[in-house]
Amino acid sequence: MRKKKSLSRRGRIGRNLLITLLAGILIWLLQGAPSLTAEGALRRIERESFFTPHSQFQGVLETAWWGPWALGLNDRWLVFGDLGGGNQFYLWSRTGPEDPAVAPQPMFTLQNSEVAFAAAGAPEGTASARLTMDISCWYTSPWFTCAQREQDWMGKTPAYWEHTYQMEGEPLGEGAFAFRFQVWDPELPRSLQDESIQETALLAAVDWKLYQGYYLPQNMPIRCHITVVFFDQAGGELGRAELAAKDVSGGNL
Amino acid sequence: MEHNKTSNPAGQWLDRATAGIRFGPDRKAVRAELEEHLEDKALDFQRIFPDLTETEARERAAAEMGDPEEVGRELAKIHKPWLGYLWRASQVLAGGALIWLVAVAVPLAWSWLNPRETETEEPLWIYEAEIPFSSQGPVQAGSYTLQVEGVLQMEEGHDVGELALTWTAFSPLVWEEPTSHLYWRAEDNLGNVYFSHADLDMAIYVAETYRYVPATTWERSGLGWTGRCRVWNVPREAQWVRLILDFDEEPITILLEREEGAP
Repeated sequence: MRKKKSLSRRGRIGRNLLITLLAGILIWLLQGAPSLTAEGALRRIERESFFTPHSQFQGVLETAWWGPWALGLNDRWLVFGDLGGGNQFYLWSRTGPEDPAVAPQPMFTLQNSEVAFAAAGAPEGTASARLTMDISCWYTSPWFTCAQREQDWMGKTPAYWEHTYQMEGEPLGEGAFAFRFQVWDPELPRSLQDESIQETALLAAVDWKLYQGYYLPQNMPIRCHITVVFFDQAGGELGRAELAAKDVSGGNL
Repeated sequence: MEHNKTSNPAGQWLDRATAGIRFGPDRKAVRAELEEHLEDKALDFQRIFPDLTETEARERAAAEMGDPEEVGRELAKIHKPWLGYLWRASQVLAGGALIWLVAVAVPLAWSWLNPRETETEEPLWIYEAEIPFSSQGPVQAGSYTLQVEGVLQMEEGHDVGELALTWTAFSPLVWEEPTSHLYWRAEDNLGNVYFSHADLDMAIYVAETYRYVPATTWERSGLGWTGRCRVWNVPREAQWVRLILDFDEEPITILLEREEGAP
């Protein structure tokens, strides 16, 4: 009887590696051929959203609760592509093709322990960036801001709150910076958190409606002005981006 | 027959000759082969010297096979352990990959073989009129080719209705799935503006007119995708509705015209 021809050990190793490779390719295809890099994932989300011309990749903004967002920039838009598997795609309009842009994270809930802003399109030679946020509002309870300071609000007289936050940017690699603010201590159970007007105001400050929309004054009126300054290595200012809440209160803020 | 540490001289010879082979399965295989040789030699001795006992024959055979330490050194040189470990690792990798593949493929195959029944949209009411709208032809949107058709559904007694859209989208990158598309807006020949879903997110005041284009939901259809969406509050008199996606200087537009002879 002829002896069955068997592969050498090297041959068997090669065969096993080939099987692994083919199985890996099949698994990858069956799972929808996900991109292996954040930049590749951003390109794909743009294609799937019919977005052209493609943006220039700026980095990844990690956010609490929702997850990571790939940032891209083209002449008109700051692009947020969802890397968390939610297949979401959001656009923040730029003031001009050369202007740096600053934008809040696209999605949040009242349960967010942290909120984040992204600044992209930093001028050439930027080594660091600093965000200053002036935020103020009238309020009657930690959860209730109001526009009319002179009026009683549900039988209460509104109190005034204001605060200036400063934050050094965390470089995201490709000309973008992230700025994160702790809304409440993530180590503590929610029930022990001190619900404060600061929390309410910071959550309102990342709501895109505050800057782009038609916020009803009695809904969550806060005044918020954000400035991001870009610095070179020597600490000289290279440029700035500003963002201000729309004042729809009729001047009552 | 397996011989672990043995007390008989032939067994000891085999143990010493194979001790330098570090990869267990190799050691076992070489030992079995040497043992076969040793048995053959022992049988030869017994044939030549019939008075020899089996043990004596095996002892002489072992002595004939040379110095076990020297044989062991030569065998250790040939049987490098890393090749054995690499082989084992490749087996584990291939096995793991195949198990993973099955774990991924079986649920997918199951869902293909048992497709979820498409929910047929039961109309909540009988429409007074269903006015067909069609587009002029396929439109290129990035790598996708789009074709849209619509039906304006008019409720009895209403002068505005919903334009129910059916999209087909095809991309050469067939594994990619269109997003929910929040940025399509629309206009009609009467000058009405229909906000995009993203606009509506920002605009509570839009509720006054509530003319808008909600997000699209997509379902796999062969190698392409079928999407469903509506344009809300289209007037009965609208002759055309233009869908607009203006990401670029040149927006993507799709003109939907009331079909000739439609009521």
